[in-house]
Amino acid sequence: MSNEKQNDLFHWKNKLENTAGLPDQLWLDKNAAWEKLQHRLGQKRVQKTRVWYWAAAVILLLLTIPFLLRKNKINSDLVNKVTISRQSLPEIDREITPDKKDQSLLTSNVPEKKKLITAITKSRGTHQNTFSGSTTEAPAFIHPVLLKETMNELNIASLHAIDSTTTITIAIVTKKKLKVVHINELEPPADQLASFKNRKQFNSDIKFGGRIMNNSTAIAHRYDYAGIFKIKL
Amino acid sequence: MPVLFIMNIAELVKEAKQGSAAAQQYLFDLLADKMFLLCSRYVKNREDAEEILLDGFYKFFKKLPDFHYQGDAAFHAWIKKVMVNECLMFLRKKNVFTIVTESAAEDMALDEEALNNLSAAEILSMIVQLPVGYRTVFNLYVIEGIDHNEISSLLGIAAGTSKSQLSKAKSLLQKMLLQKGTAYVKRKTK
Repeated sequence: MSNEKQNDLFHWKNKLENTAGLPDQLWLDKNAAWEKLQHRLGQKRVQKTRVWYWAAAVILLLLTIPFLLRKNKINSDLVNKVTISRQSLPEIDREITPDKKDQSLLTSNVPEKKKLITAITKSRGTHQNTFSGSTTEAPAFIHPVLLKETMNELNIASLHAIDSTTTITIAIVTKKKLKVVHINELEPPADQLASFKNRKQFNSDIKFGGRIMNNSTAIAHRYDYAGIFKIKL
Repeated sequence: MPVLFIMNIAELVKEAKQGSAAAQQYLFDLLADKMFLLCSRYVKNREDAEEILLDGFYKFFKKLPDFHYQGDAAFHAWIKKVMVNECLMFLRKKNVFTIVTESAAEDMALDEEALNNLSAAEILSMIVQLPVGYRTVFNLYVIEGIDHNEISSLLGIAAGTSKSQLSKAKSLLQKMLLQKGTAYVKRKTK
C-alpha cells in the first residue's frame, strides 16, 4: 500500500517539476526581480568598498595624531618666542632686557645697562623700527604668563603673522624691575664712609685656616666688627 | 547576451563564477520560474515567495564561487536545496511553523486516475491550502524526496511527528478533492 501511495504522489512531483512556466495565479516579473537582485549584489560590493575606505581613513588618522601632537608640543614651546609683526607693534618706549649674552654686561656695569637696554620706537607711518643692542640677533625667551601680562598692558589684542623682513624678536620684562647693582658698587653707610676712607692697609702674615699667608694684602674694614676679613688676593 | 544562448549550464556557471553579470542574469532567467514555483509551495503569500526567491538567489550567487560543477542534475539539486533552506529559514523567522496535532481525518488513499487528471495549478492550490506544518512536511517528503529522519532534523521534530503530519496532509488533500466534487477519490480503509 505504501508503494502504491508513493506512485500516486510521484505523479504530483513530476507534474510540479516538469511544468514549463508558472500557473496562471502565479506570476513573476523577472526583470524587476533581477534588478532588485542586482541592486542587492551591487550594494553589498559598495558596502565592502566603504568598509575599506573607512579602514584607510582610520589608519590615516592614527598616523596623523602623533604628528599633530608633536607639532602642538613644539608650538607650546614656541609660545615663549614672541613674534610681533610691525603692524601690530605698539609704540613702546620702555626698557627691555637684551639677550642672554648681554646679561653679564648688564649686571656688571650699571652705566652700560643704559646702553644695552633696547628702546623700541615704532614709527607707524614709515614702518621703521629702531632697535639697539643685539636684541634682534638672537631671540630671547619670556615666560608665557609674563607675555600675557605684557600683552594686556600693551593692549595687544593678537599677535599677527611673522613679517620675515622686519620680524622682531623681543623680550619684554614686565616684572617689577629690580635695580641691578654690582657688588663692587656697594658702599658702606654714609656715617661710616669717613672711617672707611681711613682704612689701614698693612702687610702682615695672616693665619687663615692654619695656613700662613705671607705678603698678603688685606683690607680690614672698620665697620666689620665681627672680625671677618675680606681678603683681596 | 546572444553568445550566452549557445552556452550550456557549465559554461554559464563558469562565467557567473568570474562575476559576469550577463551570465548571472541568464542563469536567473533560466531558473527563476522553477524556483518561484518551489517557493510558492512553502508560503501562501506571493510577495513572501518572491522575497524568498531573491534571498535564495542572492545566496546562490554568493556561494557560486565555491561550487564545483559536476553536472546539470547536481547543479539543479544544489540550487533547489538552497531555495528549500531559504524557505525553511523564512518559516522559522516568521514563527509560522506550527505542528498541528489534532487528527484531521482518517487515512485515505488517493486515486491514481484522479491525481493524473489534476493540473499542476490545481495541485499547487491544494498544497498551498494545507496548514503550514502539513504543507512543509508534505513538500519535503513528497516533492523534494527527503526522508522522515532528515525532515525531523531539519524541522526539529521527531520522525514520528513528521510521519503523522504527512499522513494528515494526505487526508486533508482527500477532503479537498471531495469538496471540489471530483469523483476521483476512492476511500480505502486501513
